[in-house]
Amino acid sequence: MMDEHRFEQGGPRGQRPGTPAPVPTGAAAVHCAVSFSEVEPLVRFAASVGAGAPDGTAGLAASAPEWAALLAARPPLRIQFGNEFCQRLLPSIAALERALGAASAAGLAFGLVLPMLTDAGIERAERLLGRLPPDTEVTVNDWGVLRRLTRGFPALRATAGRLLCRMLKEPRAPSAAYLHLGGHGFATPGLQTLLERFGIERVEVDVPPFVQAGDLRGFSGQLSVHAPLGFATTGRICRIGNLRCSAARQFATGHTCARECLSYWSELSIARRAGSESLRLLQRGNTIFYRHSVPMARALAAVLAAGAADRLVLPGEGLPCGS
Amino acid sequence: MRLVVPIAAPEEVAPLSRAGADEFYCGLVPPAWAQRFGRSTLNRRMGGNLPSVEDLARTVESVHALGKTVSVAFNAQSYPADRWDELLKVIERVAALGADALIVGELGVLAALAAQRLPLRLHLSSVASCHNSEMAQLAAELGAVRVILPRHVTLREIRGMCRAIPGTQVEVFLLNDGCVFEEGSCHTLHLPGALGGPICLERFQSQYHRRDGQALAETDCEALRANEEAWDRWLWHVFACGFSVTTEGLPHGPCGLCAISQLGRAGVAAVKIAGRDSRLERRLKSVEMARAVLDRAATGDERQVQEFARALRGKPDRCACGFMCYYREVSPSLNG
Repeated sequence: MMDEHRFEQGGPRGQRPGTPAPVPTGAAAVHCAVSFSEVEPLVRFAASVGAGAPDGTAGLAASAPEWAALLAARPPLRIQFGNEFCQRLLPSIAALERALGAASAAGLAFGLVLPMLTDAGIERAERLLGRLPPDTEVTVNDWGVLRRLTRGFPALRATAGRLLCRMLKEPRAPSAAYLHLGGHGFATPGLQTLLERFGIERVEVDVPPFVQAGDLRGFSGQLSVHAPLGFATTGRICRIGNLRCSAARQFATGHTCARECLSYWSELSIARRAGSESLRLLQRGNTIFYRHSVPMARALAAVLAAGAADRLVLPGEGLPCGS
Repeated sequence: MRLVVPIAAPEEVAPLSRAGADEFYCGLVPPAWAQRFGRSTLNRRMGGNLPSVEDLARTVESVHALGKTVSVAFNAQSYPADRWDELLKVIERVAALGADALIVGELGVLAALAAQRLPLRLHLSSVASCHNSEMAQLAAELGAVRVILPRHVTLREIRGMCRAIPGTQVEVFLLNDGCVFEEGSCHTLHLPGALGGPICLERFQSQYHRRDGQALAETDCEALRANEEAWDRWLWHVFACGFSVTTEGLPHGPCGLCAISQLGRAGVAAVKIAGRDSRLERRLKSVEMARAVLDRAATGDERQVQEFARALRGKPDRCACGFMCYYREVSPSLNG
C-alpha cells in the first residue's frame, strides 16, 4: 500500500500531483511572491500583471495547480529576482535595473535573492546591493553574505533563505522515520539567537517530505514557504554546466559554464524498487528539486490557514513543475 | 601543517599515530541518543562513530598519552529544539572526559557553545560551508579557533580566507571521501543501498528537456550524451575509482597531495583525511601517503614534492586527468 504521504493519484509511480490542496481561506494575511532567475520572464510577468491581464498568473496556476485557487483569490504582490543556487547566475546591473523598473511599473514589491558566494561573488553582489532602494528585501543564502549585507548595507532588509535552513529533505526516503524531523532548521535554539543578532525578521523554508503542519512552526518572525518545489541538494559542481567545458576543466571547482541551466532541465527517474516510492525529481543546473506531493501541499495549506506562514514563494520560471 | 586523521575505535589511535597522524577526530553516538533520535542525527556520519562515552574516554586517554589531541564531531545539519538539551548534556560529558575540541557544523551551535565557555576549542566543520572570508570572519567572531573549509574551494579562495582570519586556523581536505554536492547544502541521506544509497550515486535516468519547450536537436542529444559519459567518468574518480586501491593498498580517489606546498604557502594550518567510516587499512595507507608528502614538503623543492606525490600511486593517468583532484589548479591537466 502506498504511503499516505505519497501522491494519491495514478500515473507513473503514482506521482501525478492532481488533487488540489484546500485553499487556506482563513489566512487573510497570506500573499504570494514569484521568483525569477532571469530578467526577461520577470519583465513579461510584471507587464501582464500590470496590464491587469495576468497571463503570468495563469501560467503559475498551471505549474502549481494545487495553488490555483489561492492565486485567483490573491494574485502575487511581490517579485523575487535572482538565483538561490549559483553565483554564475548573479544578474548584471542592467538586468537588476530592468527588473526593478518592471516591478515598480506593475506595482509589485521587489526583492533580490543571492546564493552562496565566494569572495569574488560577494564583490559582484555588492555592486548590485548598491543599486537597491532603501528597505528592499534581500534574501541571502550564505552567512558571509548576510554579514556583508548587514554591515555594508544597513538600509536593506535581510531575509534568511532556504539554503540556510538545514533539515533533512530526502525525497527518496520511504518513511518519515528516516528523516527524524523535529521542526525546520530555523527553529533550532542556537540559530534563533544568531538570526536575532542579524536582525532577521523573515526566513524562507522548504516543505520537507512527510511534513506535519507543526514541523513548519518554531520561528518567531515571519515565514515564507517555497512551493511546489523543494530543493534536495545543491553544490558548486554543475552537471549540465560542463556541457561545453574543456576536458581539463570539466567538473573542477569554480568551473565556468555557458549557463546551460537556462536552456535545459532534466527529469530524474529511478527504476522502482519494492517498497520505495520517490517524489518526482527534477534537476536544473547544480540543484536537484522534488515536487510536493498532495499530502505535502495539504500540510502547507494547513500551515497557511493557521497563520504560521504568510508568504508563498512560487517559481515564475525555470522548472516545469506542473503535473 | 598538521595531519588530522579520523578514528572509529580507541584501538586505532596507536597504529594511526605511528603512521604519522598529528591530530585525531571522531564521532560519538551514545546508545541513549541513538535510541531516541536515531543514529544519523548527532553528527554527519551514520557509521564510524564511537558507540559509547566509555570508548571516547579510552580514546582521549590514548591520544593524550601520545601528546596528541582529539576533536569530536557534532556536525549534524541542525539540532532541532526537541534534542537541544540532550545535545548539551552529551557535549558536557565530552568536555568532562577531556576531549580537546568540538567540530560543529552550524554557526548557531557554534555561538551557543561559545557562550557556555566550555573547556574545549571550537572548530567549525566543513559542513558549515564556509566559502568566503566574511563567513570565516564571522566564525572567528563567534568563537571558532579553526575553520574547516568545505571540499569544493579553490586555492585562491583558500588563500583569501586564510588572509581574512590570521588568528584562526584553517583546515582543508587532503584525501578521500569525495562529495558531488556541497555537503552543508545536501539535505539528503546516504540511504541503504537497497534504497538507492547516496543521492549522488543513485542510478537515475536523466531525461533532458529544453526549457523553451522545443524538441532537443540531434546536436543537443549528442552533446548531452557526451556530457553524461564525462559525468559518469568524473563520478567514478570521485568515488575512489570504483572504491579501488593500488596493489600496495594505496587508496584512489579525491586527493590534494600534490597541492600540499601551495596549501602551506596559503597559510593552511591543518590538512584532513576524510572518512572515519572507512576501513582502518585504508586510513593507515592514506596517513602514510600524506605523511610522506608532508615530510618532503617541509624541506623539498615544490616541483619535486609534486612529482613525488603524483608518483605515489603509480597511476599517472589518474592524476593526469584531474578528476581526482581536490585542487585542480595544480593538476597536470591544467598545467601541462
